[in-house]
Amino acid sequence: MQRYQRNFPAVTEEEHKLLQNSKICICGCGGLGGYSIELAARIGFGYITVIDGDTFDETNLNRQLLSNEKNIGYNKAIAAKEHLQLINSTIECNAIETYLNEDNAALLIKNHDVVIDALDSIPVRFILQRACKKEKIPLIHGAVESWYGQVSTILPGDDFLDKIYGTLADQIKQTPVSTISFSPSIISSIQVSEAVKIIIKRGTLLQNKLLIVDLLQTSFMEV
Amino acid sequence: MIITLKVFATLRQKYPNIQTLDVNHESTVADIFNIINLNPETVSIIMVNGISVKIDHVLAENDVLSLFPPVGGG
Repeated sequence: MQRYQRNFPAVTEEEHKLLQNSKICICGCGGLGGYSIELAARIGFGYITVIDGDTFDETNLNRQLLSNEKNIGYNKAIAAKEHLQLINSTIECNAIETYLNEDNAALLIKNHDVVIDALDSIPVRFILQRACKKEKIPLIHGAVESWYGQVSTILPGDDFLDKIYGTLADQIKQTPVSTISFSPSIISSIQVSEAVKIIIKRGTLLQNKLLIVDLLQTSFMEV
Repeated sequence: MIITLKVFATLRQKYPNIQTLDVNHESTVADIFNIINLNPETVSIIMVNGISVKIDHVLAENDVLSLFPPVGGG
């Protein structure tokens, strides 16, 4: 309990127990996911599933917390689990070395209390939204590009990604985007705080709202 | 008529954050896209005076048109 001493009283002991007994699933272990994993572990989630089929490469080093010069070529989910075990060996971590797809998404997120969208593909984000709707699990959406980022909390059935990306989402052509170190860290922080509020049932959620962050102009706007 | 155009996120790399435009009466959002040479596929959210609208929405004097690109990186 000593390790969580500074969490109190921001988080009450009863809320801490809720977190310890909660299962969070973090989809994507790159820029956003790396920070989310770190923060979820340190706030006290007891069960953390991390999913990513990708491996680290040199272009990840500018922003992906879990990447370093020694783990280039290493699977990101496995790196996440090893990192979590260094932070807190009592966390039950399930590392899944695969990419999410229409066939596996619902199965992989099943039985979790909250899911973090830390993906880098818009079509796969929609797959995840459908899976969360099917399994009735809150989804915390986050995305970043350049100096910008966005967050929204999507409760089952809200289908808020449809409003964020429009109905032509499958036609959005994505090329590798510029992302700098601080954009994923701030968006992930908000994502994990939303996940915590879901579990402890306290505070105000970004439900049916999109928080748009512009770090170049230092502006925060809800739409 | 005068409208205010606001752009967000990566659209700010190409356009001013905020500008006023003098456009024809009953111009649509699509007309504005043409005027500023913006591909509609690069915009995911269109709002007029804070309310989500479609590309064929007809604008009125003093409207504030806000455009948001899809942000999808992780």
